[in-house]
Amino acid sequence: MKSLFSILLTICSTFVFAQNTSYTISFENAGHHEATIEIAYTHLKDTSLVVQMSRTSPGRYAIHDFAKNVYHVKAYNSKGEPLHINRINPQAWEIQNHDGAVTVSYTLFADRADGTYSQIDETHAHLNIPATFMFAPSLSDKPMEITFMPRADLNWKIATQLPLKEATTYRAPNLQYFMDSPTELSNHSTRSFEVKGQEIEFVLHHDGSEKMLDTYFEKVKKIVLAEEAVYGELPTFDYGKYTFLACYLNHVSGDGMEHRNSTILTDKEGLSEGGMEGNIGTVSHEFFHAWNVERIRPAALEPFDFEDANMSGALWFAEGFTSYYTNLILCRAGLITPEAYVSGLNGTFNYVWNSPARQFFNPIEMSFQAPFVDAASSIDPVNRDNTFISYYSYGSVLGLALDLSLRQKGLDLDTYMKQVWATYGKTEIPYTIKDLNAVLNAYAGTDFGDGFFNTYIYKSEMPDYKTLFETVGLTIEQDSKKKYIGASFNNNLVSRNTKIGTPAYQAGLEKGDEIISVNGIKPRGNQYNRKSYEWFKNWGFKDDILKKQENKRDRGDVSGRP
Amino acid sequence: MIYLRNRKTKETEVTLAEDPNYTISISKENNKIAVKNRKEWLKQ
Repeated sequence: MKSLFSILLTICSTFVFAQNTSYTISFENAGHHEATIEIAYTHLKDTSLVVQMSRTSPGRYAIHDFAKNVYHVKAYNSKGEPLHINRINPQAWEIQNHDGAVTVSYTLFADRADGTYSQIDETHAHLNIPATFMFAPSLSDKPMEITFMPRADLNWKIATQLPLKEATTYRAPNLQYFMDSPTELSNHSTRSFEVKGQEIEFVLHHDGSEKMLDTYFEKVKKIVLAEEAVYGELPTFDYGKYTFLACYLNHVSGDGMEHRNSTILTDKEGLSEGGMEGNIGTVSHEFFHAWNVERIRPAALEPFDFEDANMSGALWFAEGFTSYYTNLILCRAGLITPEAYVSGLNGTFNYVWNSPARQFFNPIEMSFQAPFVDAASSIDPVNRDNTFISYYSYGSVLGLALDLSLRQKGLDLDTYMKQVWATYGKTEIPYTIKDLNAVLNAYAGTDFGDGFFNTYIYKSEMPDYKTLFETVGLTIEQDSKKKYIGASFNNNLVSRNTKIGTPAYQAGLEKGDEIISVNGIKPRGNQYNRKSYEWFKNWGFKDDILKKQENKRDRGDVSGRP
Repeated sequence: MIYLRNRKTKETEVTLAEDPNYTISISKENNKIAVKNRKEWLKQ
């Protein structure tokens, strides 16, 4: 009895004295990109409360320092009396001498809508949670509530993966889930369909027609089903629902960002402006992440760090193999033709295999650079043209090589992905690269599995694509007549670092160099030089680039020309 | 070919190379096994 009483007392104490966190956000000054945020903390045990803004955002690996857009920070005790605040570092505020309850309020400025940042204006409140809300690290494991105050005068509705408590109040079981739950408040449209008892919801904020959305949603449905077929099942979404949060508006920034039960999709192109075809690849990519990276999860990303950059050597798989499936799924779903799919391989293939960067880093080491390249910003020049290959692209062409190699053995990448899913995804056991190697060994044999990883993942050798392509009736050719200089130009200036081993590099040309003459032919002031054009064309300039330059000239936009 | 650099003001000669880029396309040869493999791969 004593034991039972003790247990009951503990349960009651936990219930009565649980530390609570309740957020409220409102948008009275949306026209100037501001939100007002209040956080009510109650039943605080410690005499000091530290709150901070995140430095990072789930799915992004660089540091973004969201505290830079926070100001007018105030704190009050339970009686409404102001409390002193210490700014203890650039991200954090400390409040002492409270009475067990603290209300923190602040103003947020936000004007970039994508998968990393937030944007508040009179069209929407596009909220990426780490870019919006402070948090108390000491309460990270506690549940929390968030009440959104949508602008009724602007007909805003709320879309989010957070479970609804009541009215406009939502719940989050802990900080990790809260931070992973972007929310869109706007006058958006919604479509949904059911797959084996789970709801797939597509929310679109745009200025196009409902009919266009209907057409687009049919494509989304085909993608969902084609990706389900790869793994044999959908993930079990935490609240029985997966939500696409799409904003296709001219004032947003193009992006896609995966989350556990939702994704952000942003693009400047509306459905009637090319987005019907141009935006659909991001739908395919981000939904594939519901398996690969959200649940088939690199161990290095668990738990996600909100106070420092997140580095993983597995992004060639998490992002790269997802990129391989991005267009493959569009083809399988009948949304692009096989010819278009194959043609689409060219750009990525040439980018990866003509890059000098493979001599410096393998795919794992390329992945390690994500904190420097994944929407990261710095002001000093870098030599990335020579030292970095995107792990999206690198992993994509390795996924292609692995798939075609497996098919030579009567196996395929879909089955390998299913086995990774069964072992590490469905079970949600974070994996290491050795684990991926082991699953491949078990599926295709040790010689094959170790051969692939030792040659292409731990080293950076190039698979025999010519032979692999022949097995599926593809040809790969080079045009020996086409000439190549290996430099990029913006008007008469070398616009990027020249690539190691190219004629331009060997000749000592470098970014910023100005072309004064070509074979003695000089550009004349701001006048377009036809002969110069011909020489540029011979260097391998793409015609479309030249046309753009011609168009610029025709509009009189010739600033910067010598 | 002659260039003048803006930082060191020197002339440079460049010898063009062959374009290293590849073109991948569907083969015109109607190899039945390869066509079958491609259809399975692309689930057509």
